[in-house]
Amino acid sequence: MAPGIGQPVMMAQPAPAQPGPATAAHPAAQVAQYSWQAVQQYHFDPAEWVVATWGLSKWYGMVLGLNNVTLGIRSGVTGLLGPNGAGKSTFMKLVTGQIRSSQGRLWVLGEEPRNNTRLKARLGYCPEQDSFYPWMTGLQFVEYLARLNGMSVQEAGSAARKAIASVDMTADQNRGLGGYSKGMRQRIKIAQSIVHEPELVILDEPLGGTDPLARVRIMEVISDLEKAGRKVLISSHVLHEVERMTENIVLIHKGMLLAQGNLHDIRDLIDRHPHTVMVSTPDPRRLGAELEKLDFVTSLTFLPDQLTVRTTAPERFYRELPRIIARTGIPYTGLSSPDDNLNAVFKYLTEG
Amino acid sequence: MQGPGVRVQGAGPDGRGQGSGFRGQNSGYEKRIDPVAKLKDMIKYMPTKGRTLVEMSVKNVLYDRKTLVFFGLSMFLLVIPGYWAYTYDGTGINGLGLFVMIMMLVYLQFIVLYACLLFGASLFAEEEENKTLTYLTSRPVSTFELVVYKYIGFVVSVFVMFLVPLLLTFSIIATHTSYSLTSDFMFELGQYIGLMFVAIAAWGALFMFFGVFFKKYSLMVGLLYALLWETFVANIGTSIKYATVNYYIRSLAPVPFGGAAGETPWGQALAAMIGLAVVCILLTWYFQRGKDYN
Repeated sequence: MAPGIGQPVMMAQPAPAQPGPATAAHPAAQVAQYSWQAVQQYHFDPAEWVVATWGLSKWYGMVLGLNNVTLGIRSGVTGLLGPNGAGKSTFMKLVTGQIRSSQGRLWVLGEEPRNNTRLKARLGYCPEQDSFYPWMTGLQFVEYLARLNGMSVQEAGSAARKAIASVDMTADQNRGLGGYSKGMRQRIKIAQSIVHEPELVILDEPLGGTDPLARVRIMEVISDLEKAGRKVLISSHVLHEVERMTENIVLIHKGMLLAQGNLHDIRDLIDRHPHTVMVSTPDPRRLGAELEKLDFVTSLTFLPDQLTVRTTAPERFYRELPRIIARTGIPYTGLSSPDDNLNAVFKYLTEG
Repeated sequence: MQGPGVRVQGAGPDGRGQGSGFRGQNSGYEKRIDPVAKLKDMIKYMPTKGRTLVEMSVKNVLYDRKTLVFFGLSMFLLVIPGYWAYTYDGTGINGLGLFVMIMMLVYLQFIVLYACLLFGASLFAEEEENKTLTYLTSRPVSTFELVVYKYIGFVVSVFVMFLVPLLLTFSIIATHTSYSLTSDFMFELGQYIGLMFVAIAAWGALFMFFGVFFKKYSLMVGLLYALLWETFVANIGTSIKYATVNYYIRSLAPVPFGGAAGETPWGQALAAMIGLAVVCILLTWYFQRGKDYN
């Protein structure tokens, strides 16, 4: 049965082909299983999706960039998550028509992006790379690129000032790009991607290398875009960053789509797999004796000031631990889990 | 949900026609670009996009360190007419002869040729390497517009770069000759300026194509081409010289130089150079269009 919107879709091990009526719920669930002819018969309409792919693959010579990805992205803000080298930028470049796919199909706002200038007028792209024309000021940079969208010099000037103001860069707009900090460069790149008010804004690692203040500002800009009804696709390799911007995520790892859906559902899914939790305490043996009584604790490892616990039910463990601490009065100074991060999510989804 | 300029075509991924199950309520599943609509867009936005791309291309050349080197070299070469003017006593080479020699030997067969090689070959390569090309290719600019307007910007900027020292050379010589500035000498100057423009256009397009086709080897191939083909082959007596730009430049030269003048009518020589530029622009467009911008 095809999962609906909001349900995580596991893609690590695709289901065998089972033809059946499509419900227009999720192309990742519907389309991947069928032949092209079947896709046509089931009235799959890419125009219903912001981004829709069908068996999309990209090879760079012998290196695999993206492997048989079938997914559908709806309106709003969507986070594309994956570690470095996962294929996020490849996906972004395919979406913006910078590169051509090796196999499969791709539609963006219902159209194929490669060599499609009319579609590009509807897209705004903030690339990951930190490259600029050294002779330009921030304002000139945004203005020139706005003019390439067909705006007159006057229109482009006014739109550029507006876009720069929206990323809080007005004070520095007349400075040369070479003198900008990383955070400023990221914001001016975002400004050029939104200057023509595109329908879909594609931001490749917009928070990469920025300081905390710049991060907050960029997140606010993305939030403003969402409020303005724009469709936004953001890539990142940091889960908590994306968590603050959207609940809709697409997980990519080693070029493959691992999961897609609501972040909380995926998190719940993750919470059901065994976790390792490190509890910092001056009395690990006493705490271990208490934890040993819990049936969902499977192993304990002792260090001088730390107890490493392996649990099959992380949620229950996190509920019980404070109660034990309160009851026994055993002091503890910290709690951490190597499984509570994106890498653990990927490890779980890929290795089971 | 069919946007303007978008029409439905029925080919599946295998290139065959659509199945009968597809025709029906949901016929908008596959949309391709309508070339007519695309052309209309190109014409509509040509003034703004074209002007912007040309302006950017000119400024890229202007702020390039290579410009400083070539402009500096051209200005330094003013010592030749300067020394001539200082020592000229009415004997030896006359003003027009010196001007033709500087124009043909120094500018057209050396500085302009190598400037076209360095600037032309890096026209796309440099932007690809710096990754700034992504900003242009993610905008509603077709590859054809990109190639044509960047090329125009390159031709204009390189032409202007050499026009200033050339006019200074002319001024120095003219003030020490019996020719008046309103005489035939001015006409000769105009013809040589035109010739330089055509040479930049032809070599520029050729080396731009080299840059896109040979990629990282473009400078090496271009250098070999300039040294062997345009310098050596153009001067040998066989018909292979017709395949060099240099031969047509000499054919177009108002004052016979290097033996080619008169062999090929100027109309044919001009057509050959324009033809070469057009073919190279089209080839650049073809190869650039298929490229991935990583």
